Amino acid sequence: MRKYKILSLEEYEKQLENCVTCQCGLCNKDCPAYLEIKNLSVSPRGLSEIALGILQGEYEISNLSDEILYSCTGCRACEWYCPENIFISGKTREKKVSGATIIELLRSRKIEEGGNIPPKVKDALNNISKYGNPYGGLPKIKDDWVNSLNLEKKDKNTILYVGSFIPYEENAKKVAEDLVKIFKKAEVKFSILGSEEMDSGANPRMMGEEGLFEEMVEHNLELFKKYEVKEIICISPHDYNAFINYYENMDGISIKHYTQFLLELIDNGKIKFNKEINNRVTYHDPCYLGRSNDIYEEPREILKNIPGLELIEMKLSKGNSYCCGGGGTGLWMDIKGVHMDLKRADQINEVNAQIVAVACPICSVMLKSAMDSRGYDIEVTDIAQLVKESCC
Amino acid sequence: MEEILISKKIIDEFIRAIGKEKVFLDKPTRMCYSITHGPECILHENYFEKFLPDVVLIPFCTEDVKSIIMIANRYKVPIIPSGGRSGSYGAEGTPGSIVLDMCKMNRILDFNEKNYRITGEAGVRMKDLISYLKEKGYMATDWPASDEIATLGSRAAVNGYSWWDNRWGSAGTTIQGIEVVLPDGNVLQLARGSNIPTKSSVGWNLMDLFIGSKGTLGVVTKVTEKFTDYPSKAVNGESAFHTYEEAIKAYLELKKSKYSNTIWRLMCSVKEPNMFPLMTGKSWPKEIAMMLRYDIFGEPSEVNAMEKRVHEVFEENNGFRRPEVSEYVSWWDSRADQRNNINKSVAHYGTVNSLLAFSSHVFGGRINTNDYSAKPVYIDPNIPDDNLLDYYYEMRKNLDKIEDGKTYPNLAKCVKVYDPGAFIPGATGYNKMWIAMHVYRKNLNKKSREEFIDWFKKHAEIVWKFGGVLSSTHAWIPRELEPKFMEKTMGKNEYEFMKRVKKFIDPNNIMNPKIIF
Repeated sequence: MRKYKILSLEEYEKQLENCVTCQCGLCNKDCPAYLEIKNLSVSPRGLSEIALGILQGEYEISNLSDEILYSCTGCRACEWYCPENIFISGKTREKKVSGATIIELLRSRKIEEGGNIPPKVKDALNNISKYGNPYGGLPKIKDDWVNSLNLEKKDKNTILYVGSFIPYEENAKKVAEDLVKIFKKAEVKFSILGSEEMDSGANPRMMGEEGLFEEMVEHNLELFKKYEVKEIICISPHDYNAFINYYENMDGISIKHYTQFLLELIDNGKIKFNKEINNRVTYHDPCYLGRSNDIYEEPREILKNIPGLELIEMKLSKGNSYCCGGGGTGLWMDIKGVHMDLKRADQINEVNAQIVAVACPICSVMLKSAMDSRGYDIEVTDIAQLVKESCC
Repeated sequence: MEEILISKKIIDEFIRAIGKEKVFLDKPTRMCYSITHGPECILHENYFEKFLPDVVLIPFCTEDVKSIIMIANRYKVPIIPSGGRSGSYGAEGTPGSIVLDMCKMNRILDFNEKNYRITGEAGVRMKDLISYLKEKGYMATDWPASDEIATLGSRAAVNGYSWWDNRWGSAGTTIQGIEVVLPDGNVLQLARGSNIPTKSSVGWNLMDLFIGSKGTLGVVTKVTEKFTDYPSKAVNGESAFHTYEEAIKAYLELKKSKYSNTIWRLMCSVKEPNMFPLMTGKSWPKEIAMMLRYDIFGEPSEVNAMEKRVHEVFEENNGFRRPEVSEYVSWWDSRADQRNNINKSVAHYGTVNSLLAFSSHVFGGRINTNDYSAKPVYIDPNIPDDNLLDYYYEMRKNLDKIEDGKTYPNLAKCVKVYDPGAFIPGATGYNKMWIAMHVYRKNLNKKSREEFIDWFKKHAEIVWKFGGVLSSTHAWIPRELEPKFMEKTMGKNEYEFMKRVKKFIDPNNIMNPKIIF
């Protein structure tokens, strides 16, 4: 049995037809790529037309521009609004009408056919292939970092899956360290697998490298089997999404995003807050946690539990949240005219927040950089960091 | 590039005039402008062949539009203006043509609170206009179902239907002024008898010549609309009826009530045959022949009086409620958070009202099941009040033929009617009504397409017989029938006059030449 479901453009033809022959256009209405570029060719509806044209032999995929292929961040606003998808539940990739899925399939086909891919994407893929992470960080660094955490009560049944950014991305590393401190204080028995743990495949999948994705899936499943893993706590929503929506054969393993796990600890009285955080805080919903997996309330509940913290909502929040721009290949390459991070920073600034709470390492990188570019005096802080500050 | 019929010399002129960042020749972009996403696309097996434009131009301002039109006119290159492409009509590209996408002309230019007028460029999305007004405590009087992507310019171009049609009229009556660029490059500021957004008897009402002209006379670049105060009270409700006669009688009675202007949305609809079971897995309650729902907005005293009258009319016509009709998502709330309310409707699945809420809020809503998951085909006559019931009976008989398997054996295999009718009040005395079908384009073949055209012709005969017109709301009739239907709808003399006007304004026939004539 395959470890994940393969989907081809041909198998997706009915969804393409549904979109092309539908007049509603709701998929386009809040597509950040379309709103910023204002060219239908990057919109979900336009992508349906293009993909259908490719299937009909009207156009060669190898000639598609980077703008068309790499503007989509996989935020799935299109999929979320599409009325066609309302009655579909469960593992939905092959069923739902989605611009993000079209893009995955187009990127994948381009690589299959030996088409050129942008150098930065290629580098990230090569690094994942060689080192298991997109930064090209040496495995030893990860092992040394894990050793430095002094995890005393190791329990490989429960793992904190730190993903491929940590410890190579500095801010994400700090988030992981804060989570470790919280878990220690709450006396959680858990492990971090170190360099054995590789990219979940979320990055290769969105970059269209199906072969590498499959390799990562095979590797990780073997790893989980070897250590008899029963519970995975993910730091990145992208990894969480990959395990939930792309992996098969994960039966018997409970997968949680760390915000879900933290809320359980709070509800069970294992985390007690003792320091007030007297700030106006707004929460930015990561697309891969919110729209993709309906996790909206847990992060908010955690924030509401922190004494002194005033939680304010942005106009675009929860299902309507605006993407930070880092999904897909957004973290690795710039597309001219696409500045989702800056637009989101403006939206955050509009509500006069002092802190924007995030729950995703990619959102954190994107928004920090956007706040600097805009010159806004707004701190970008992970929920784990706020919890640690208040409870440890 | 070999597919492009427009010469390099002309394209270079466009680039010189407006800048290369506004000129798109790549095929993927052009493919996105090949066909609008309306019913026409089901009638073509490979629409890229027929509808692929040569170039897409995205102007930033009126000056850009003027430059483009003047070059196009000099070389007799067809221009197809494109708005939000939510509608079912008109903005398809054609080989050798330019599609003019107005999406980047999307600024609100003037907001005049004292005069209740707002002016925006043609590419302003209705959604953005509505939000802008709401933030200031006002409400748009033109509120299309396609508000999320429809644009101000396209509202003028198609004279679109509004949710508040019975109260404020269609888009054309809400629009108070336009800026239009003519084929010779002349830029006109037009209103009704004046060049400012007001009504006058001094000059001709030149503006209305362009309202609903679908880009055949010029390109609308700016639009001024009126707006109104945000209503202070809103109520809603619905009733079931045992027979069509009772429901339609109640509906017509309410239309002429003393406070009928307070009812901003009145809809008489049936969804039973296919939609309900597909959505809920249950059978449609047999005792319900038709549903009637209302939304009343306005001043509290008027709203209360009207609601009282609504209940009286329901009672007089044996309207009844069922327990499952108790949960009702108001139009107002549903528009505020469309996606969540669709879910809410689904959560209340099994309730009749959830279907009504669902289908009316998601005008493009479809059901993904079997092979009937694609195209909702809307067909809209405008039937006078006095013929409504007779028309309805005959229309239903003709509609049944689509699925009976005898009259249209090929069509029956690939089309399913999911909404046999929903009346909504149009202008005084008339009723818009849509029929919606599911069609999966790939299942259609030459024969089923011919049968569809044949069915449509018979449907048109029924509409005409009862004093209606094609098409009042969604503006679509099959392209191949259009000139003939246009002549029939306008009258021969009037059609010839239209042609003369067209020739005078657009002697080179460059403005959206594929349609109407």
